[in-house]
Amino acid sequence: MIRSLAALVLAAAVAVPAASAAVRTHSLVFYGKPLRAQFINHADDRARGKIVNPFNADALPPPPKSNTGAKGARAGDNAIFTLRLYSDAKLTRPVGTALYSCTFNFAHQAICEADFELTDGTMIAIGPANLDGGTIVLPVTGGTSHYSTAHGQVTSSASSAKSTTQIIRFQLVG
Amino acid sequence: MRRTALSFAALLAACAAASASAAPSAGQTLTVYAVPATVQFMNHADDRLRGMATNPFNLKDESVILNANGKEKGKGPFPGDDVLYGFKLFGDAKLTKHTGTALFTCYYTFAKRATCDSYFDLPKGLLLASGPVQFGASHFTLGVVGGTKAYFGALGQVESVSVSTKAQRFDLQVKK
Repeated sequence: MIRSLAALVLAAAVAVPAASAAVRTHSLVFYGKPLRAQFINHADDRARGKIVNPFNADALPPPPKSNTGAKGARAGDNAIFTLRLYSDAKLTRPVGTALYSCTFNFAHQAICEADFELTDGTMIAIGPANLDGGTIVLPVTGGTSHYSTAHGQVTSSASSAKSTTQIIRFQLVG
Repeated sequence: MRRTALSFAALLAACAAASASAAPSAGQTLTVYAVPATVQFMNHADDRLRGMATNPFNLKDESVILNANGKEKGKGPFPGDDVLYGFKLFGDAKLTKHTGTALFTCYYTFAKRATCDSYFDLPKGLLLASGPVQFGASHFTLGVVGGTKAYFGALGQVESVSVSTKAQRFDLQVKK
């Protein structure tokens, strides 16, 4: 498995363009097929929190339309979804799973923690995401086993306009 | 709440200012200021109550949270509650140079202590910091755990210090 993942290393010594100084990186690319999704609606907790909360009278108000009942995610709602990861674009060679656990905040943006469980270790990423089908870029904050020193960023985007398959590209320091 | 919010804001501001002026180099400390913009408190009292009756543990810990009347003691925040804070970030103490936004998501555990994940959306990239924060505290320190673009692979820490009733100062140390 390590060998197969090593084969996925696309580039060594890639400079991150925006960085103030060139940082040596290497890349890994996976293809993700969505498996399951769960949305958790916390409208009752928002409503209760407006009345019973630990803040004083001078506290800021919650955002307008924070709990209208209209369709759509509101601050505090959760979304959990998983993908099966493959090493090839044809989705024939499974190499693990990915789990995104997201908490919506304001303006339909969410903060997501992502765990990428591969056969030779796990990588963890966390950061903001717009869950509207666009590209998501999350900083990679660590990992286990083969990825215990992982640090960098991971980008996921749809492989095409009509496809649900995600192209997941890791750029890792070192 | 305001104190906590300002604390968070300060942290965020510090990060924002740092990125706005220049991408921090190794060991550089930058100072920024933050003002809270919005907040959402999530009261999970019903989930706690349900969790006391149906859970995977063999604990009878109602007394930790509930008093004799079956109600929670005080206003919390209690374990499981979470608070979302949005901030505007400024690069100067007079709060005139807007440099970005920041957001804190804090999950409360015991004794009004939260684990907070924060991110600072700055002109040159995204910076992430996480760590424990006591509710109402004006001083706290978070660890920088990563970033994107100019903050790719960033590490370090952010310290929060209250400087006024409107804003808070944050000293951001970013190492690469």
